Formats: sequence, C-alpha cells, structure tokens
Amino acid sequence: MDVLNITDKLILLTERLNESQRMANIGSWDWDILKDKVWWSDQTYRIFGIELDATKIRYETFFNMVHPDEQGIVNDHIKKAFVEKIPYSLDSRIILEDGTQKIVNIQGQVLFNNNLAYRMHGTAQDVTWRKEIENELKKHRDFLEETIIERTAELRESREYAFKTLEQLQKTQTQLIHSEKMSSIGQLAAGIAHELNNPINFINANAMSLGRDINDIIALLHMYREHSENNSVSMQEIKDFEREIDFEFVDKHIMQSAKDIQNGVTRAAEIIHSLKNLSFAEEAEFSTCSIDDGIIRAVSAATKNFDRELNIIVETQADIPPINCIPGQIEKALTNLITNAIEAIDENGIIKIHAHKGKQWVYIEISDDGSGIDHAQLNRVFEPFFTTKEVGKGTGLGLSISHGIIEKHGGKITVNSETGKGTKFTVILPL
Amino acid sequence: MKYSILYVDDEIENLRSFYAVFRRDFDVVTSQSPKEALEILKNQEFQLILSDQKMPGITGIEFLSQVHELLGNQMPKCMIVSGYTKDDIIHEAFQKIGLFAFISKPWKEEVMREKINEGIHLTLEKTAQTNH
Repeated sequence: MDVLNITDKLILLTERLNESQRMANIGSWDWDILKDKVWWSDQTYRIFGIELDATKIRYETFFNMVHPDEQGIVNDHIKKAFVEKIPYSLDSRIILEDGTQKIVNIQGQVLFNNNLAYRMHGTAQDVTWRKEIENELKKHRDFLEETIIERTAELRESREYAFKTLEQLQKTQTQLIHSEKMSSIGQLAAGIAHELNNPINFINANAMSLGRDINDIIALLHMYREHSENNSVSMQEIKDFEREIDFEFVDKHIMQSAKDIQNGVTRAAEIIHSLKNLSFAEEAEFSTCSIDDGIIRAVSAATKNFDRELNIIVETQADIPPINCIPGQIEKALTNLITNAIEAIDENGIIKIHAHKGKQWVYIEISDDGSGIDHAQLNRVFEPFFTTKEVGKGTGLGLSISHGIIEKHGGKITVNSETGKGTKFTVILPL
Repeated sequence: MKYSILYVDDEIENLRSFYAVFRRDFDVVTSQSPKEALEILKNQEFQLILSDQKMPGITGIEFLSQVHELLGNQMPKCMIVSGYTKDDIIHEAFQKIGLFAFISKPWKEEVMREKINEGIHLTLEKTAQTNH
C-alpha cells in the first residue's frame, strides 16, 4: 500500500467519523494535560457553537461556557476523575456565545501513567432535545403527582366528612333512642299519675266527708245526751237535726267511706308493687327449668286469686327439654297471661294451655273462649297501663310485664283474638 | 232550692265521695255510665256537668260533645275532672264545647266548690240572656 492510498483512507475514515459524529450529534475531545493542548472533533465545535479553530480552544473554553450555577458540579466530577480515577458522565447546561442554552452530556476519563495524569478525553453529546422531552415528561409526571395528591387530599377530606357525618348520625341516633326512652318513661309516668291520682282522689274526698259526718254524729250525740240528762233538747229538735244532716245517708256512708279509703290505699299499693315488677334489676340468675313445672306453678298462682271453679286444661308434650331461664320470671309471665284469660271467661269458659317443641323454640299457647279483644285494641295490649277491664279491676301492667320478661329471655309473645270467640296468647322461648 | 249538678265517672268510689262532700250544698246526681247520663239529661235540667276524662270506651270530651249535640244551646257549663294533666285535646275542648274548667284529681274541696259555684253562675247568666 502506498502512502497516498493510506492518506486517502485516513481522510475517508476521518470523514466517516465526522459524519457519524454529526449524525449522532456527539463530539469527542482530547486534552493533553502535560502539553496543555486541547483537541475537539468537528462535531464538538458545532455543539459548542464555536468556529473550527484549534488555536482558540483551551481547557477553560469548555469550562467557561458551563452555566455558572453548574460550574461547581462539573468541577467536582472532574476532580473525582483525577483523584479517584473514575470516569464521569453528567448533563451540564451550556451557554453559547449567542446566548442560546443547550444541555450537553459530558463524559470523560483521565488516563494515568505511573499515577501521573497525562491525558483526559471523552465525549460531548447535545442532549437538549432529550432533556426537553425529559422535562416535558417530568412536567407531566409532576402534574400527575400533583393531581394524585390533590385527589388523595380530596378523598381524605370526603372520608373525614363521611366519618363526621357518621359520628353525627350516631349521636342523633343515641339522642333519638334516649328521647324515645324518655317519652316512654313520660308515658309511663303519666299512666302512673292517672292510676294513682284516682284512688288518692277518693281517699281524700272520703276523708273530708268522713270528718264532717263524724262531726255531725258527735253533735247528734250531744243533743241526745242533753235530751236524756237535762231534757234541754227536745226529740223534735233531734229529729229535725237528723233530717238536716240526712242521718240515714250518714249511717250507711260512714262504713262505706272507711271501706273505700281502705280500698283506695290497697289499689295504690298494688300499683306501686306492680311497678316494681317492671324493673328486673334485682332479679335472680338464669338456670335451667322445666316448662311443665313453670306452667303448673303459674296455674296454681293464677287460680288462687279466684274463688270460683275454673276449667283449665293443660297439655304439654313430653319431649320438651328444660330451658335456660329465670324460673321465677317465666312463672310470673305465665301467671299474668293465665290471670288475664281467667278474667276474660265466664263461669262456663274453658282455658287451654298447650306447650310443644319446635326446632329452635318452645311454644306455649294460652287460649280462652272469652269475650276476645277488639281489633283496634289488640296491638296495644302490651302497653303499660293499657287495660280493657273496668277501672280498679286491673292495673294494666300485667301483660306489659309478661312482654318484658319474655323479650328479656330472647323470646316473643304474640296475641290473636276474635271478638266473641276468644283470645290466644303464644309465648315463644328459645331452646 | 239547691242547684243540680251531674257528675259522670266510671269509678263508683269517686262518685260516692263526691256526693258525700257536696250533698249538703247541691243536688248531686251521679252516673257511672255516660250512656245513662245522656238519658238522665233528657229528663232533668242541670246547672253544671262534671265528667271524668278517661272512661272505658269513651273520653269525657267525647261524652260532653254528645251532650252538646243533645242539648245544643241549652247546654249547661261543663268541667272535666281527671287524673291526667291538661293536654291539647282538652285545650281544644275549651273552645269547641264550652268547657269552662279543668280540675285535676285529687281535687281540693275549696277549689272544687269555687269552680262549681262559678260554673253554676255562668250557666244561670247564659240562661237569663237567652230567655230575654
């Protein structure tokens, strides 16, 4: 190969190299540290916007074009390359002579000979477009992040709002339950007031009239005494006075008044006693008890208050297992229902008590063939102080007490009735 | 001559004791049943009607409305005597049927006497006006 050929080939290779550097927008550079000579490839000149002229460039030429804010970072990297002998790569902002800015990726490495740095070479690549895309991407990412943060905050806010609303609702619910309770306490109190005010009323009125009647009788006695001892009062005067005070009435009324007072006191005491049954706080503990025994005891408790002969048929299935309950309370609940049935029937009436077992429940039915309960009144029968009986014959608490007891045992109590045909109460208790 | 008052209450003890207290001052007629009371009102004139509020199957206000239908303009003054405290229904009745007093049980004799006298006086005044 002759020299010319070699020169041609070199020129060709240089051209190719330059062309590929131009296409890739990547330039190379070389710094002979010992001679302090800098060489840039054509593309490097183009990247830095400097006219191709080797005499014009030095190491500082590049460094001075770095944005003042980034000169420190660039310096650090190069220092590292000298001290720690590691190659570097960084993106730097470059300010061209005409003021335009570019982002240039600088990669370089220092070459050593016996620990003496003698040369540094590397590449410079214009990555402005990449940076622009990166920035654009970053902008989008930031926007997305911001949006996400915003949405998260909004979500958190609405969650907090939901929590607050829930809290408010729960508070309102508690208040409602409370006021519901208060209103039923209020109703109960009004009922108690009415029930107690009646006996108190006639106790009071009887006491007043008794006092006056006794006064009259004493006056009459005095007249008789005057008549028999001094004869200072005539029989005619006595007769006139007797007529004036209506002695016939007083005669009958005094004992009646005393009886009414006693009855009134008994009634008031009964009301107060049955109120005690409305709260079971002091009541005994749960234990297992046989439904049979409970029914038998309830029947005898209910019937002992009645003088007349009663026709009560009790049928209980043999296979009912003992249930978990407070025996005294179940007995009380059944006693009230049986008493109610007894009061509903006439002399020939029949009461049937039937108990049987289902899958999960025990059913106890108490039916009578009495007068029945009016449809309109049927759903009120468990209300405290509700009664269809004549005043004084019932406190109106019996069924509400039964209802309370059965509910407390996790059971249910229902009523069916047909006027003129009878009433059936069904108690359901869990097995 | 004593003025006549009619007292309706389903509890006989209330009627007996009321009678015993006021028999000296007024001609007291009592009835345990509003139905019976309406019959009595057809045949006898009263200067005042007293009624319990809570009775089996009927309230005092309902009973007095029936009396109002029966007697119309000739209706004497009425009072409710009840163990309940005054409520809205009774308040309404003051306007509707010329209820003039509400007395709660247990009543005091002096208060009751005063109200009875006041009621009778108002009935007499009204009768005098209509007769003119």
